[in-house]
Amino acid sequence: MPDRSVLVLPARLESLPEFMDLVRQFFVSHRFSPEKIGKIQLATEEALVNIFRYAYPEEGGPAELICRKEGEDRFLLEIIDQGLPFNPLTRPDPDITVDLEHRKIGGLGILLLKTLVEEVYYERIADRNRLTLVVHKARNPLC
Amino acid sequence: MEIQKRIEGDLLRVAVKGRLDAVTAPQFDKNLAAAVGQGEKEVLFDFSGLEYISSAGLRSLLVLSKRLKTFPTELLFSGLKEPVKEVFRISGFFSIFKIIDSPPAASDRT
Repeated sequence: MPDRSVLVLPARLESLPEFMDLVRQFFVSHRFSPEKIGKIQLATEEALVNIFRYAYPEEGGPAELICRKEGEDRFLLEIIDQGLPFNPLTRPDPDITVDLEHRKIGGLGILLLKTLVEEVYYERIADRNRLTLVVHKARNPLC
Repeated sequence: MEIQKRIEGDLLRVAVKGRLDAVTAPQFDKNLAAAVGQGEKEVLFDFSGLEYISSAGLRSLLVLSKRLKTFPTELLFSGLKEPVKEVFRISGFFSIFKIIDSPPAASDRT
């Protein structure tokens, strides 16, 4: 079972299933529970879809996903693009307390991303956006 | 994703199975747009087969419910599995949508 898996694909919606497969295979091989893998996939989807939609307004470009084991119970997902600088973590959270009529349609993706993984970091390095998601594995096997 | 629809009097039942994500949400939108607004009073989503929902799916539900409000048609959700429940909870959907534990039997509604 690899401690590091990498996938680079064009930043477009059609690439999403392959990225999701990589996340599933990597975390299944590290014995994460299906529930936890679902949360990791969701956070990863939200980060990737943002890149697909907004990172390359003109010509398109690559999206890179790296899954790696960093410690006994600590795993990282790095999501990298070469598009416009964008830090999703500085966006204000949507107001989830207002009624349907006043509900804004956008913004829930980033909120889900931040809630479903243990830690999230953003860096802009060498003309790249890098979002790092940290996930912890419960010590109890298959949790 | 699989969508099955059934009309029972004033009620439109919609069973959604699989994943409602950024890839499948446009298909969901198209399917539902053609089905609602036919005079039904309620749309009842059976989510007992829904394994995964992302913000793209939430967006579809918000857009649909805003549209249905004008008819007016009531939107109900049933059979939510734990992962979907958690996404609904984080997104505050429990305060804007009617969510029931299990779908009422067809016979209860006639």
